[in-house]
Amino acid sequence: MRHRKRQLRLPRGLSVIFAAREACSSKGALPKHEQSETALFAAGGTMGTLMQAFDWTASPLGPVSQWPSSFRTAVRLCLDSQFPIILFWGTDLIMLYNDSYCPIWGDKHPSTLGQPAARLWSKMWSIVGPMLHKVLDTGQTTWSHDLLLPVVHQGVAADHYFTFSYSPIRDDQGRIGGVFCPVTETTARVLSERRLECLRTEAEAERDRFTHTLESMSDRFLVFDRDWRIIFANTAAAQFMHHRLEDLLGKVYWEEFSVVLGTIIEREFRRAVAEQVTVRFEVYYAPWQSWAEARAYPLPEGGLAVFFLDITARKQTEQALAQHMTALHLANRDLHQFSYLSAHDLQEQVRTVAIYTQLLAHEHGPQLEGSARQYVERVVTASTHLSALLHDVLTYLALDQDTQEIVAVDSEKVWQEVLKNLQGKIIQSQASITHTPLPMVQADVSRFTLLLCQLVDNALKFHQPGTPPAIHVWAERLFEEWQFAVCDRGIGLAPDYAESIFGVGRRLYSQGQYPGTGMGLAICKKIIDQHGGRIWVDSTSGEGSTFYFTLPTFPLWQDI
Amino acid sequence: MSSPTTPPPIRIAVIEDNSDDLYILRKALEKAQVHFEIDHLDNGEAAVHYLLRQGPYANALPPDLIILDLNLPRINGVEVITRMRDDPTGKAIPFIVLSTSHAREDQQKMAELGAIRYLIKSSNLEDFLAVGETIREFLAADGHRETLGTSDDHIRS
Repeated sequence: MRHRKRQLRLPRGLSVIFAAREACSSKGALPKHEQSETALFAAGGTMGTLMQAFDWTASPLGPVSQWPSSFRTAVRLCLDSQFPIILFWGTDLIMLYNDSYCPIWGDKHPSTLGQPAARLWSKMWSIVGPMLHKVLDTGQTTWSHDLLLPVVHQGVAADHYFTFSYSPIRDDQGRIGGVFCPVTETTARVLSERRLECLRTEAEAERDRFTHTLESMSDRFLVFDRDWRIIFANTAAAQFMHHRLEDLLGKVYWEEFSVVLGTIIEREFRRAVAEQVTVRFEVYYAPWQSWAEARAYPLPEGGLAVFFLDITARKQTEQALAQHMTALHLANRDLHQFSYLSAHDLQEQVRTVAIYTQLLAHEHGPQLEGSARQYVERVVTASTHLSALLHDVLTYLALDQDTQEIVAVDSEKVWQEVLKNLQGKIIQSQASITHTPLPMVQADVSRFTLLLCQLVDNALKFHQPGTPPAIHVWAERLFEEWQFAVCDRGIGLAPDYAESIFGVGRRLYSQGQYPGTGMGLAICKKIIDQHGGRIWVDSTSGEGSTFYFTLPTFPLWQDI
Repeated sequence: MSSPTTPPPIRIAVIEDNSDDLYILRKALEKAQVHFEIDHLDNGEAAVHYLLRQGPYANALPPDLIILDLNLPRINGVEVITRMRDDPTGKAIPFIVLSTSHAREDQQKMAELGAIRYLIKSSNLEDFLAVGETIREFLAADGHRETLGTSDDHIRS
């Protein structure tokens, strides 16, 4: 008998048996009992070889020659089968198994061969033991589906699932001698089923969340298939179409909602599908007086998904705004025309009043006496003031009405213009005016001129009594802006009024003390505001004032 | 009445719709001792006919100077001057603008059209009357010296 030399993990004692057999083989023909042994385990793979070498006489099974033939048949069937099969024999449930079963033992193989089941299956014995004994006792076959068995393979434990059956093996006398157990590993299926279940649960949860969102939103959502049947709708859509949800599904949109035929809805939906483009349009539904923005998305598998967003509120706001804008525009236009008329006609009349009262005073004043002359003088003063006030108010209003034009302006040139305009007053007051070179700035020429003129005019007016005005003007470049200053050594003002004097109609002195309209600095502030700059005053009462203003180097906006 | 040696008055065409302004202008000219005769046109359309010697003005004497307001009924001052300049007979007449408008665009436009001066109507009597002086200065420079400035000028309107 020739033993194949192989690397085997053999339990202790077997090597002794091998050696004995080796010794025997050289002696000639085998004894008879050995021949049948050989045949039983021959060509049974690794397990067959191991069984061959096993000392069965030392086990409860006894020598192989004494094994019942039904058992031996079972052993042979086991060894010949490709299915994992394990046999249990005797009350001790001694285990024999084939090659296919080996992986199920994992690291326990091959030490489990010929051993009682109870000893090797300690953890699972509480489950498996009663089942095996039941077969032994009653002969009833068991069936276990997807039983979880941990298997330790090369030190690593893993969960495996098996489907198997315990059926009785009867001995030659018909009594139940052992258990026959074919096994199928079902781990792959169990795990993939479980994964699938997880995915399904997740998908359902996802879908529920989605549906919940669609349901809870007030916007209407519909999905059509390629035949324009409604395959999905949310509650809001159903309500809008005055249907119950169940009644909508499966219906053809055009038939259920024929009012949309020939409208932009039909045109755009069909276009979306025909051209496979997303469409977006606004539509008004008269019966509910509601505006909606419809968005339709063609689906790759055919059909269309549609959202109707309710934009009624937005539309109403838009329309109200448009109405207000029109009203505002008309009012503005009327105001513009009004102020133009005011500019012309009012001023004409006021000028006439002023001139004639002056003529009256001039030509007939000397003839008047006492209160008459006084009255005439008062009227002259008042009408002159009225004229000046009207002029200033209209100048202020014109700053809003007319558009300003920001261009590059040479401040030096503007300065010369200002000096020319105020020439009479400068000469009359014997003012001394100095300045440092003034820069190129971004400004509206006429407004900038007006601004500078007003500031210098103020400086000329509010000089110390008895002292000619002394005025100095300079400019310095700060970050992103030019800062101008008009400085005088006049009467100054208390810091308490530093802000309020820029208000419309604000005066610190009565008409009798210093004539003026109270509009000068308000006009300056408006001009500066429109240029995006700042204006302020630094002053000490009795010592003079410096009026500062800034002009941004890059205009913030044009054409105000 | 005028003696044979008295030179004829300076003919001034005043194109002005405001009769009060006309009154003050006369006063201004009187004060400046200008010997004048005024042809008054109170709307732009009549002014154009007058300057182009049309209709009733076909045989009228041409003016030596035009005092022009800009805001006129029917045809405005700018248009009046433009039509005058476009006509060969009207071009040579000098004109002074006397207007309420401070607008820079108006001043520039009139300068382009050849205005001798651009004067703004003041609500201050003194300033308004000073217009007379300005007109007198111009006339003197323009070769009307012998017509100006004598105490026994006759003033006719």
